[in-house]
Amino acid sequence: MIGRPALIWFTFITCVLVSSVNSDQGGDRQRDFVRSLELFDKATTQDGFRESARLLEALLADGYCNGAVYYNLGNAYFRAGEFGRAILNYRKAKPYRPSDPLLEANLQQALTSAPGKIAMPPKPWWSHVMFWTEYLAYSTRVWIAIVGLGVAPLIVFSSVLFRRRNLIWVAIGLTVFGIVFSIDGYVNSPERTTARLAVIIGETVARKGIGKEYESAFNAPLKDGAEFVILNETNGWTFGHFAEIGDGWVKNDFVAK
Amino acid sequence: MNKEKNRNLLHRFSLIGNTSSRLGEPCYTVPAWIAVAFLSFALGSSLKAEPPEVVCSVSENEVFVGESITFQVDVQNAESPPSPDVDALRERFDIELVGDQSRNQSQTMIINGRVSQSNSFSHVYQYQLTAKAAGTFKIPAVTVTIDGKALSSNSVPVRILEVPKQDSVIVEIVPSRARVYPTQQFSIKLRILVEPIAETGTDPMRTLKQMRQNPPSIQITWLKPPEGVSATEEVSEWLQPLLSQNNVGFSINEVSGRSGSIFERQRLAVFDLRKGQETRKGLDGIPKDYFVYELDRTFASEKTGSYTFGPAVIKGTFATRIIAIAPPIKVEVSEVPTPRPANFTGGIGNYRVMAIANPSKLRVGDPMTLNLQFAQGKGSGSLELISAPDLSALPEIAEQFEIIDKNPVGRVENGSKKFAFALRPKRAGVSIPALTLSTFDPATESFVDITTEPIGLTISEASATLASGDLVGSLGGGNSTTEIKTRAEGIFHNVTELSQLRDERADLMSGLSWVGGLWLLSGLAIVTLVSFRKKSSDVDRLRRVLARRTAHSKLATASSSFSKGKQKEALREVRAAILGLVADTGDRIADGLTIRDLSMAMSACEVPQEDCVRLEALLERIESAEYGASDASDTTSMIKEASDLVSRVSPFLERGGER
Repeated sequence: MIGRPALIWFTFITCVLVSSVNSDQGGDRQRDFVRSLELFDKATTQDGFRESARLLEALLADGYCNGAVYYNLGNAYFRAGEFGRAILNYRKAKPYRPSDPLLEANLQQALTSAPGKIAMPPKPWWSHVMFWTEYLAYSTRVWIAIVGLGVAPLIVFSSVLFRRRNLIWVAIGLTVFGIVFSIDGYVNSPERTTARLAVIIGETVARKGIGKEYESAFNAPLKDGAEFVILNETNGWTFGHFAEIGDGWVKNDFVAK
Repeated sequence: MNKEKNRNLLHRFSLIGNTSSRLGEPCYTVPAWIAVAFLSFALGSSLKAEPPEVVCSVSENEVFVGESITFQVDVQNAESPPSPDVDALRERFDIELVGDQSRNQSQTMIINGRVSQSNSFSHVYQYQLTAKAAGTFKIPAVTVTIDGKALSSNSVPVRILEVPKQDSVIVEIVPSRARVYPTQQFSIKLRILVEPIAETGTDPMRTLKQMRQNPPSIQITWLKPPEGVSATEEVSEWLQPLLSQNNVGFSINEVSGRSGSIFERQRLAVFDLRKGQETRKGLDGIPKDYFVYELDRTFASEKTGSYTFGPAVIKGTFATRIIAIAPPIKVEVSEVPTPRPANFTGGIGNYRVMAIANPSKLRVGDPMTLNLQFAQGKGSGSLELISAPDLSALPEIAEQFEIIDKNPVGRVENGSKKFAFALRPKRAGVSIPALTLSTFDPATESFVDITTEPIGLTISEASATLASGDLVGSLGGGNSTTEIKTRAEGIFHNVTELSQLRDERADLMSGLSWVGGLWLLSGLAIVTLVSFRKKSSDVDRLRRVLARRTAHSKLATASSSFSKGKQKEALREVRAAILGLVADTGDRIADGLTIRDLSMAMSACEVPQEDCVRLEALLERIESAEYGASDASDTTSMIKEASDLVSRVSPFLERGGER
């Protein structure tokens, strides 16, 4: 009788988790996805692959996020010869499919094929500390954080309820675990990482200021596939940091984000 | 007078600075320049607002023909003076500009809030003068035009001595190549031939004591390479292996060695350059044996042009005091000749080229990467020279493939340069043929062809879909754990499983707000639980709360006993019920409570007086009845009255107990 509140809580949390995981199985989305696969398989020209890519882009337009869709989108752009967009979408898929060897292989293939490939900035030191980011999808890491932090108070309550002091240590462990994964989830969230990534499409000249009248920022034009980190955006121009080269303004017509 | 003194001091420090700068020896440079800056400042202060002046000086006033001296022109009190006109010197000297440096100084002082500023201007030009002919004369004045006014310098006396003809020590500069091409390496070798001691036939360098105590010196001009040429080794790396352990050899310029004692001044380093022996004709035409010493240094040309190495001067006391001078030599760095083949890559020297296609199995129109990799052979120029070959100029490629990127940027990695061309096959069944490219061979001064191996491709029609088996890099046991490092063919297939389409958005912040709610609820539940437990464990409270119920229970027992004919037992139960009620609510011991105690307890609990009186009377009746002073009807009424009184006084007693 005394344990009833804990049972009610546990049941409540379980229901919330299960309902969240199982929600959102849109039929329209599945139909469009299958349609994009059909277009991809039938495509014989670059435009055919672009058509498949357009359908997948539409899927992602309403804020829906899925690593498989980003991956297929990268494939479609790769086949269409748009290596820059392919690289960008492979990078976007990465947080959701970190241990997918096919994704990594295709990304490397796109990087090799891209004429404008330049070095990416080195990984920050803390990425080596948070080594699990290489193995666990972002959503999994967030759920680990939430479940860890969510179960901890139940364990504390159970400890008080059943007079088991040892359970406190379990709760502390879960809390620490949850806090670490929460920090990871914040630092490595796709909104913070891939949202700052951009890539050059086509060929353009980076400028030292906003406008074509400014002199070239680098001694060679930027080509399709040159990745950079967005520092600022204004008036149809993007200011980016190109690793090992420097900073420059690029017209948005030549930037995929 | 002071001005003249300052000028002399400046002259002396400038010589030290200039000499060390020419020799590439930073150990002298820092203190010399600090001193120069300080003195320039001091001089500048004293020359404030003075008219422009041109002051000339030389590093040495007495040299031999062919030997070089440093000639310095210091233009003072002019902010940005033009170069001096030194044409007047060309009659007697070969002139080469070594460099120039501004030594302008500015000082701002604030004393008692008063700001004063002083500026001093000085610009120094340095030339290397090589005497053409002997004689004693004055170096003529040089002119500098400042603000339209031509200023002349002082003239400096010098004595140029004829080099005595001798064949005891012969010195010569020998280049490995007189003509090279950009980035190609070449070496400059200084050869010194020393005649043996006539009596013993031994090497004077190793035999004569005075040569160990005072080794002969070598003065060369290529310790610091001329601009446009770089040395393959730093001075220290180059000379370190040549250091002599027994002080036999030559000193080179002012290169110093380590002193063994902190009290001893830094000594010039001695280098053992001995190579062997050689026979050569002397001045009299008779062959003579010489001991040969060589100093070899390798350079790489950076720019086209003509570069001078020398003169080189040897001074020392061999059998007699000797000076020998080697005339300067020139090395030409030339452009690759034209016309050049269309497939010329820019490479100068010996290179290997390799082609790699990736993927090798694809469909018509699919992108593929053709990697051309140039590896450097021995004696070749830099890889930086090689530019991406124009594949569109190769019909065997241009006809079969669409070239997406015609001019890729090359990457130099691990001694080779790689170009990644993006291609698309135009039709099925085509392959990458052997590609013939061209480089320039400086040895034969001709263009040579280098060829790649042909690459077989499997190209299917665009409409055909690759079967799953065509995808290379079989995962062999599950995708999730297999790491694919290399892959020879096209990109991997799409994800087709609909089960993977779930929305993978994960909102950490909303999740954490849920977690916060859970922590709050848990906290409340824990507080409630602890509070409940605390109340549950209070025995006095429990006794007080259950007091009325216990009393009624005892009265029920009394009724039951009375119905069974146990009158006395019933009366005891009634009495116990009343005393128990008072004891339980007031946390007292029931046994031993008297009517007086009862009365006091009820008064303390503000029980109405009427009820107190009734209860005391009831207890007295019970007591009497216990001793046989009442009948059965009295017992029934006593139980009823007791029940009534318990109900009436209980609330008062309970409140009083809580207080």
